[in-house]
Amino acid sequence: MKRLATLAATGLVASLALSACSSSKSSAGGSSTGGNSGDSAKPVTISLLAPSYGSSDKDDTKLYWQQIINDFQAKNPNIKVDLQMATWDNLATKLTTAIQNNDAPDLFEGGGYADVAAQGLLYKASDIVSADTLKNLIPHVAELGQTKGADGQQAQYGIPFTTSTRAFFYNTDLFKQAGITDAPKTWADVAADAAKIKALGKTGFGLPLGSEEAQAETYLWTLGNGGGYKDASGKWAINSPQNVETFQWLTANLVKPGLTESDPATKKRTDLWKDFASGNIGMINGSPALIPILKQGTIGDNWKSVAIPGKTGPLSSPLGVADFIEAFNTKKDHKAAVSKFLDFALQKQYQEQFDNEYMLLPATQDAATELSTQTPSLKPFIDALPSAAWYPSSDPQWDPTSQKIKDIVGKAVSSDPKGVLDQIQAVATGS
Amino acid sequence: MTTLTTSSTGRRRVVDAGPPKPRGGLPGKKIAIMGAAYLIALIFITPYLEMFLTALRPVKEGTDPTIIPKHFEWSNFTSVFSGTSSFGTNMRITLEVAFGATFLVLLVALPAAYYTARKKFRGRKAFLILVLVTQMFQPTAMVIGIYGEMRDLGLINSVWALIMVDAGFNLAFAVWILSAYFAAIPAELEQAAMIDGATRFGAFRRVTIPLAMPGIVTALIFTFIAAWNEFIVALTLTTSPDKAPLSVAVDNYIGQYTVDYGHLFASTVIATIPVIILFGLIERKVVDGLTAGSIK
Amino acid sequence: MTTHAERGRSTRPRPRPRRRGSRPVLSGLAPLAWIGPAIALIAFAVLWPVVKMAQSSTRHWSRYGVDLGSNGTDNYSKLFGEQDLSGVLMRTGIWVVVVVSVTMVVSLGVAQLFNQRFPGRTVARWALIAPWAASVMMTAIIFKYMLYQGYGFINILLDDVGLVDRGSPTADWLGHSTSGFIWEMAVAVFVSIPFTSYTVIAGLQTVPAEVYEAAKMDGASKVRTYFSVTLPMLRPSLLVAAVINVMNVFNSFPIIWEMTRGGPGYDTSTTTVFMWVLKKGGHIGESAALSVVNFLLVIVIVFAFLKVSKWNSEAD
Repeated sequence: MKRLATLAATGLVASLALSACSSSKSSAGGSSTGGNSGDSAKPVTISLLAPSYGSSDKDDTKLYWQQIINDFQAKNPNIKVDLQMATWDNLATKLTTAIQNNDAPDLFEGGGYADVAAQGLLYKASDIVSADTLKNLIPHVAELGQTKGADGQQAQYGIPFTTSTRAFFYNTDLFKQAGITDAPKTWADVAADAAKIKALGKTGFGLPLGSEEAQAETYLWTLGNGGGYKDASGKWAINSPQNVETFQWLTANLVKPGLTESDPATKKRTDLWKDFASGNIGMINGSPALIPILKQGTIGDNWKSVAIPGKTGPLSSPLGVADFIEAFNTKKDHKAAVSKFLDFALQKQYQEQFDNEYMLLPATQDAATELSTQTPSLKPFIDALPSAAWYPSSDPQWDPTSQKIKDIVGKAVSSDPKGVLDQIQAVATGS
Repeated sequence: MTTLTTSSTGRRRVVDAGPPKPRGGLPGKKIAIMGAAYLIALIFITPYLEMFLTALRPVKEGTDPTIIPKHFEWSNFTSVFSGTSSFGTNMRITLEVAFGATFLVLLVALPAAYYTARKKFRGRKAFLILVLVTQMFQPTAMVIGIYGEMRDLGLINSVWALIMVDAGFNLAFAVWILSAYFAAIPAELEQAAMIDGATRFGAFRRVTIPLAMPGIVTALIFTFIAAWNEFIVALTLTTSPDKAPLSVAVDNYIGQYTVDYGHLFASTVIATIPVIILFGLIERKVVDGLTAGSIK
Repeated sequence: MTTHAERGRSTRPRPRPRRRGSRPVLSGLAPLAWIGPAIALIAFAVLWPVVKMAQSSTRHWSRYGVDLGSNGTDNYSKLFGEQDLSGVLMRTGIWVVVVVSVTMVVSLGVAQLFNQRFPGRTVARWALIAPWAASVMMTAIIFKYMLYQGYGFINILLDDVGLVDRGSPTADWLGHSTSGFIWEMAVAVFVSIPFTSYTVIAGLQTVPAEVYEAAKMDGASKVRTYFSVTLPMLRPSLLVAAVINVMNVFNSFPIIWEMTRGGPGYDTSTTTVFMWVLKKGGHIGESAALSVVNFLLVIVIVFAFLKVSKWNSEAD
């Protein structure tokens, strides 16, 4: 019996030792993440949760932010910035877990400001960035950051950080081989050219309707038929006749004849972009972020980008995408520090650095002006920004709707499009 | 002395396994067995060989329909460690978590399993069912609660958090398998040792533990591998891939616009090798040691 | 208190020496000293998070996790109103039954084979362990890579032997829900075999040699010996392996997620994958409700399984 007790005691002591270690660690960690109160002279640690736009050690967005943070901390020794990174795939989940535990970061870069703004968790843009920074934002993009706050008033909550527009890319080599001289302007052109490219044994058009970026591809095609996600009066119109017709056309003219890759419903954009860069696909919708991938691939410089073809002619307003910064108001005593950091991070040089790294577009006017001359390949995309059509991201229903589109819209080219779009519409209208 | 004799006879009685050795088995049959075993081994290693080859494949050959790349890009294996990569840190965290969790599981599971195997106490069944039930939960469903706990304890980004959670998740299996092994070992063996003057702990250590070794090793490997590869909790409890174990850091190569397959697979291959080596060491020691000469 | 211990002892087949110096007071607390740490760890790492999960299934959450108060069983009624749920449940059933039974049968054979003595056995066993040692997530990713239409390793191989044109729509295995799901089940079997085989191998080693000798003396054939001697003796380890597999396969997430994301649509989703899909879509409460349902399902399956396999018969 004695020995039993000894053995058990050994176990208990060891587990106590473990918990002792952990608690000592916790108190050590506690001081650095800081629960500072009021006193502004005291050092403060603010947190920033951001996604990585890169895919390797060299283009990790961590490096971008870390440099800004180092510069900032050198000038503001009392403020520490705790950088938290996530892949895009995990970003929303991380934010959700944190918010569920009342532990939102001070700053979040990504999307989805509408929901948290409506719950009263965000600072208004005008409360958290300086008037100069606010004025410098590209007006049209800044407007997108407007949504209803907890007070029911429309105000800007999302602070745009980066933007991009979409364009139609085609492989000039394959076009030459197929004897196509002009870039397609209409859907019919796309179908005809795709058929010619298919005759070469390649895929005519890359249509990624899988769960990754289907909301973009869907938008591009429905815009081409005068459709989209909302109607002119701002009501959800995902199952509009124009949208249904769009998918009917896609099914009948591209998917069924085998002019796209097989089973678009499961195809990821990353995979198709890679295929396009390897010269296996004739045409695809892309963003400037595709350009560096093409440089690495076998396609090299044998590509061109033009306005996205619509049913009767090229789209006058291409799709624009913006990522926003949100400033959470849960830790009131961090406000001054957060504000300082935001003004610092949105400076021209950092905006330009980011856009040159990832071939994305700026959110501020001074950077846009300078980049247009510095980086000619970005100019057409920057010029398209003011006229772009954007996701209805200021609607809190947009996020769940977008996810539903990613989940099921691919089935619209293999089964009844109306039924699929009805399901998405139901999510959007919350019914 | 008597203790030793008893335990060694006991060991032979229980562990000697398999049908008796046929003297001079048919070579044809042996070759067939070998062939089949090698084929299965090959099938099981193939995806990882392909992983290795893909790690060597230059980006430009990414979609070439060739099994062996035309050019080998060894740099993926070296650059994983270099520059801005946090591979070293990630590896250290993984090692700490896997060893820590395994140690904690054995520390907690051995007494619990031994006791439940040897004694019928009030609540024994409830305990065993509780343990079994814990294995039934999906960690992805529980990360919210786990995050809350660890945040309150200040253990975000701490290996202790991962050690405790991984140990908790794998405790069930360890208790069950150890309990089964302990139960299969006749109590008389221990009692005999104790009559011969061994303490209860001594009997446990010298008689029971060696006999239960296959079970202990299975539990150990099970926990170690699960902790080594655990993803969702590590993702939740770390704030950045450079503060996370390898399983999470590797995920960072799957980007928004491209997937860096070269580095993704190179680091996975590197991360898997230590586990296989560890397994190899233990497997040889235990399985061969305990079954020498007894298997056909 | 002593009686408990005594009763436990009395089920032992042979008489044993009388226990010396038992102390009733201490022995009442003894179980806690032995199993207490295990209970504490389980309570901390598993039970409390589960309580939180169950709680969150009765709350109304905003898209990004702001708690908007209780909403009773709304999440559950919403969940059962999902038109895809019945398909998901059925697929989960197929998934568990097929993966576990194929795994068990194949593993019995593999274990028998790898328990034989042959040159290079150690190395072969190392190879066998690879799918277990590697992360399941990464194994799923490499299988997806090997199944790419046009240039995937498996398609090149199938093309070379003339079975499938690697560029044809058939070669787009993960593009169709049926072939995609079959491949996912194959990968699930693939990653489950090493652990299962190893458990069986360990079990084979506890079979006493005398039993085989006795069977041989009785003139039993090898096949007969296997079914009437080896298999019954393997029962404990087979049970452990089967139960663990049922739970792991039921809860398996990374294979389906990495290979098809549960798509097209939700056509390759199991309940575990669907739970994540709901969470990603911002339906946090519904997702938590499905977690609870998922848990109840697995508990029913496991206990039904244990009942059928008469797990208790020896213990009581």
